[in-house]
Amino acid sequence: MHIRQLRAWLARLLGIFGRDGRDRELAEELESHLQMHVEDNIRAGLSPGEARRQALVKLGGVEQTKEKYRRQRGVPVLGDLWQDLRFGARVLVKQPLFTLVAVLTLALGIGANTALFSVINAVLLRPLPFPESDRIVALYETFKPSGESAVSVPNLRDWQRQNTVFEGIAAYVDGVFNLQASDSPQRLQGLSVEANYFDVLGIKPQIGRAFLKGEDEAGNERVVVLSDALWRNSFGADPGIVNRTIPLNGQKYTVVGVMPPELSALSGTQLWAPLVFPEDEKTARGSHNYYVIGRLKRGVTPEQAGEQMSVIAARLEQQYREAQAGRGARLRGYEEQLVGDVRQSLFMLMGAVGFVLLIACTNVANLLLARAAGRYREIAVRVALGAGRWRLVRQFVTEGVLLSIAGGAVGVTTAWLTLDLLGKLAFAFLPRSSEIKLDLRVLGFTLLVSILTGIIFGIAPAAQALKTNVQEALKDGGQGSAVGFGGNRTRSALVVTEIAAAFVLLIGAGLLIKSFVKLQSVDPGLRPENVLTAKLSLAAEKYRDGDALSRFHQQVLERVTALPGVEAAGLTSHLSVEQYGTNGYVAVEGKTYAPTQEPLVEFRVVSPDYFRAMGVKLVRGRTFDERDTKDAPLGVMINETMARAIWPGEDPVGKRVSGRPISPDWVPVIGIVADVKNMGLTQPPTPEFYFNYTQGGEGMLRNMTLAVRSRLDPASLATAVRRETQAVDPGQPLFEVQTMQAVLEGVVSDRRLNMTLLSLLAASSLVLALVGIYGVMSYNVTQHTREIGIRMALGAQKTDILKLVVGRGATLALAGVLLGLVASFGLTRLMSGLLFGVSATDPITFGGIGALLFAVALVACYLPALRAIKVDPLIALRYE
Amino acid sequence: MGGKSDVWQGTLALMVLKTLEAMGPQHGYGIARRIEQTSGDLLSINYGTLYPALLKLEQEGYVSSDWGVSDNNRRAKYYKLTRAGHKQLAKEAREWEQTTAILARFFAPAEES
Repeated sequence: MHIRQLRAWLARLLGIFGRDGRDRELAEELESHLQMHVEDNIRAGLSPGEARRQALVKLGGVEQTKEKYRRQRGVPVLGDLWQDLRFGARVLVKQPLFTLVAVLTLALGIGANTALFSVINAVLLRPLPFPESDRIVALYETFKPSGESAVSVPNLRDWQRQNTVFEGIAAYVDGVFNLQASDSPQRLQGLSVEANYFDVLGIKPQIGRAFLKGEDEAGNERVVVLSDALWRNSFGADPGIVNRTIPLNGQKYTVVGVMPPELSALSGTQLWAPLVFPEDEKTARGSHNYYVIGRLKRGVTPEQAGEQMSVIAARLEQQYREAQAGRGARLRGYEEQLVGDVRQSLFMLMGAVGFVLLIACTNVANLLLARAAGRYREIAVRVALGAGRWRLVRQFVTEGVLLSIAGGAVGVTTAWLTLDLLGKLAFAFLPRSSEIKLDLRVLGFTLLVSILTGIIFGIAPAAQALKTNVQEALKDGGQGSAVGFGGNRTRSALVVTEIAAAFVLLIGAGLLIKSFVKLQSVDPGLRPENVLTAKLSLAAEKYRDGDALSRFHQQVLERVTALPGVEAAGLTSHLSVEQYGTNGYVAVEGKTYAPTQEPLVEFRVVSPDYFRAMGVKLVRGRTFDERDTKDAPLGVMINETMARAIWPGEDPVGKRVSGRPISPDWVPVIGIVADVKNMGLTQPPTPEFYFNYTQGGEGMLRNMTLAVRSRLDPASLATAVRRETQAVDPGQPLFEVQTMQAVLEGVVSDRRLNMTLLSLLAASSLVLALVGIYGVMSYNVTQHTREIGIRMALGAQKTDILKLVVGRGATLALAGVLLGLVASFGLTRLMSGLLFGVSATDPITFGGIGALLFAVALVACYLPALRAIKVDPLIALRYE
Repeated sequence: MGGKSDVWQGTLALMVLKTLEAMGPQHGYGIARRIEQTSGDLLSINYGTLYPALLKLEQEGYVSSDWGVSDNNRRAKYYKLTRAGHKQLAKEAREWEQTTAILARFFAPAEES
């Protein structure tokens, strides 16, 4: 019995399809039935007419029988859906231009949403590739005057000993890894990590092992774990790599394991080596140099752990008043740490593509409305013949969903084709950008968006269909006034909405553009033209002390300076604008400050010619020169901000300061240089110190940037500079070789991307909105052709008609702009973190964009208005 | 609609099956006429209701249909009982007899008392 029922249902499901053939067969069967009945009746003595009538009565009507038969044949709801789909598809195919415009509009909206969602999915939503990754947190110190800081070794050890909330805490830091590859030395991006680092992450190597306890102690540290990417690219994925040695930093390191590919997708780290803390740092509570991650015990929330860290930090502050004054401890999710502050710009862009989709929806809704108005008689006839109104609504919504799914398909295809580009070029700076792809979640998102979109813009014409007044529509000579006016109101609301949405996007883009222009006009305090930069990382194994380091640097500088075309060559520990230095408090001779109120100053190490090479002006005194050798008395150079902050109205040259990284003794200021944007382009310069590379700052000499000013195209110098460096040490790689112009562009590249993307979105939304307002005004003119004709027949002038039409459009545009103004006022505040030098409610941007949008909207109304005044009253009066 | 028509539908289906068993392959019109005749013209059915019932039986696999030629040379769709139909008829006939027998018991004592 169950099988029978199943079989019957299957037959009914199949009955949904192939309807036409079956209908014909049924008609034939019924016709033969009637014929036989009629013949019998005639034989019984009835007239042919009466015979047929009675046969029909007995049957109960041919159409009624067919309808009952159909109900038994298919599944009514599904059957209707199938019918709706087929009818909808036919309607869409019959109007290819309409369908093309609608599908492309939707494809733009849905495609943009898909692309951006796939970025957000990869970067923000997909969990990190670690087991229970939500238990991994980043720990850091807080420091009252400057916010956050890295962690010192004694603090790390106290955290590790005193906490009860972590399974493990591990420190790591960027390391210097120069690989002596067969042809040329290669600088690798590597981390020095405590032995339990991989346990905290919870990740196991794909071959070999991770570090053992004790390998992060001096004497055991010559082991490395490779990333999957490095293993594949540099070692041909050799499965026998484990226990082989590789030449690193002039030493032999034994490979003990290879990490799985997920880690390579997450970051560019190419290898890991054990972190051995230098002896002096083990007791230096004030030396904050390490990053820290921890894995929470199961069941411990980050909040609980944070509380305990605060308690521990408060205790340490009590215990070590001098080193720990104003210092706390805090944590955040590891994911947040890795991804950084891209959240705001991604969410801003997601909001923007949402607006574009909204505009696309309103445009398609408008198209559908206009078309529905043309179909109002068809609808009225169907209602009169007994079509259920609900059924009509469903028909419209089905058509809408069909359109939006077609749009979604085109959009996804486009997104899929451009995604590689998006991931590799546009968003390459984002962490995890290599993971950007269309996965099930993205496709599900797109499908959901498409269906919702279809329903949303299908509802407007459907609602209108519901309002159709059948009698009016059928009797009125064709000018369905009920539909016309009701529809106009909906259409107007849609146009106002899309103008408002376009306004919001234009404002957002305008603010970003203005920020970017302001940023471009910021004087970095140096002259980047004709400067080539290159970075050098010197390994501790090879260059053990400051003497060895400055000897190498000196030789490189001499050789590079001697190259033809070179005007000046210098070195710096932190490249201006791009890198921040390290900071500390200084004491000033003759001035007293309250504790923690002492001047906080940035430090950089430079070689004498750095200022000349970078084009930083000397304001007073002198720069370093050959007199400032290792054994000569120390001297420092300062920037103008520091001069103003500490010695306002005095001449600082000759004044003396002292501080931790310089010297415990008093050191005189020998010169003042112009301010450089040392904290990045968007920040005001802070007080800054420079001291000479031959005179100490050993810890800073390991990672230096070379700056070369030349009379030639700086990029053409790259090969020569590399050759000269390797003439000094053939095993020493140069990396990030680029012009200073490129460095400055790199600093603003994420802003440039935000600006470009938002501008593109705003431009497309503007075009869509204009098409929308143009369409509605054209439709209005067509609808009111007769009215216009009457007015003209009664003596209205062309200017009156022009005013009438443009006036209506202007009202809509104004309403849209005002609504957009209110919305932008609320929304742009959310992006204030992305702005520079312009307020989120910048009146010039708001006013300018408002006027622009209004003016452009008027033009869009003007074209239909021109058509209106060409109306010939005689023809118009007869117009239907 | 609802329950009442279901009962009727069920009974109609049983009549159709029984008719097909008695007459062999037959077209819709023939089945309708035969049912009326058998009922001694006590039953007047709307012929139109027969076709959905036949379709249902076909979907359930109790009857099959084929186009053929009628006595007076007219193309008509002929229905015939399948093997499953024979079984189903036997089963339903049994159930029907049981039902009527049970009902008969309810009415018989009422007459006695």
